Amino acid sequence: MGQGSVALLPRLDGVAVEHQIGGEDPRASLLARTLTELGIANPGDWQGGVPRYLLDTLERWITLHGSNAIREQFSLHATLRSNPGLYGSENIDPARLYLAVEADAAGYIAIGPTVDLLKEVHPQLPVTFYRLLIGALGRWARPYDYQDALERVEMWKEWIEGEENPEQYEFPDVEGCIPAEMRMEPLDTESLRDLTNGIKDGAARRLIQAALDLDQVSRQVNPPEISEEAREALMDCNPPLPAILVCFRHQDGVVAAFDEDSQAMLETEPEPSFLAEIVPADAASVRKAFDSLAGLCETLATASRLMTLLPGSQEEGHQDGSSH
Amino acid sequence: MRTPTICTRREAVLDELTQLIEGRHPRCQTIIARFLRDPEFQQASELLAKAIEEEQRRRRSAVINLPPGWLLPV
Repeated sequence: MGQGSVALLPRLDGVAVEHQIGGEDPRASLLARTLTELGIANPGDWQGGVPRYLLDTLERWITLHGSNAIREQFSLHATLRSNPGLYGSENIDPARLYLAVEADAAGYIAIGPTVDLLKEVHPQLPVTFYRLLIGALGRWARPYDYQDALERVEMWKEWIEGEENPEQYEFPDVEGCIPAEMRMEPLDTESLRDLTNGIKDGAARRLIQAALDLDQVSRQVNPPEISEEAREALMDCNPPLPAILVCFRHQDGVVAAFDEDSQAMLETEPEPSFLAEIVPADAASVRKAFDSLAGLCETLATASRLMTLLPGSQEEGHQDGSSH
Repeated sequence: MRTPTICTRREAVLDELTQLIEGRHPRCQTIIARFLRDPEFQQASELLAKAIEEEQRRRRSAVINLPPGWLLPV
């Protein structure tokens, strides 16, 4: 028995006094092998460690599908984990892994100047453009727009029903900030394509074309379906954090509602924006999950490029230099 | 057409990953890795830990002399 570093505690010479477990999950090794077989992982990235290899593969895949464009407008991160939720400690299915994407912060665009531009071309163009944009984004991530803001204000009003002094409460004026054109019926796709060809204003034509492209890209792949087990594991979660806030004007009612609403968004764990279940040894399952991730990335990258075309969005959206 | 080097590299990586999956990789032979993979090892360790704990508890106990007139338990 040798002399310990602390006088009162003897230790056995040559015997480790502490073990740290850094074991590699067999599912991770299986996934790494399947990704290599599929050609998604690059063997050149292999340095002997499975976690690093998977991380490099994920980064490579996201870069391949537009990470540079995505970063211009969105702030998201992707993880491979053993649970559908972020903080789950028990494996709900020991045979699966989960590929999740979550928002770190919401991007921000003010779409009022676009509405002004498009209504000059055709009164139904603003709402048509808006529905294409929100519809495409909503297929893959959560946008926060005037519909969310209206629902939230409605809920707050219900909460104070029956209170003695309801006038003491002030609510964001969401109704008042919605342009009249947004209440019109959108054009169907065929009418929109016919109209687009005849638009003389270059900026308006580019915007509509970009929205049609975005709609198409967002539909190329279907978002993954979630199993009943995963759905149950996320049952007590809040909705996903919004990936983007779409308002009409800087500091309008939508922004005010979002600011208030966002105070409670992290009170309980939010659902991931995107979740794909993976059976690591099953090539079809892995391929499907990574194709879905590519669909998400390409939709967000296309949306990000569209957003750079929005007139006045940068001035409206970032005049105080902050992001949401 | 893929070059032989790339094929060799890919095959080497796949081989190493297969060894990891099947527990044949040298990294899987450490005592901790074996413990993590083997439920019987885990169960045996748990039984041994309980036995040591029980033995320590038994050693700490003192033998008390029976009061006069008491019979030993049957």
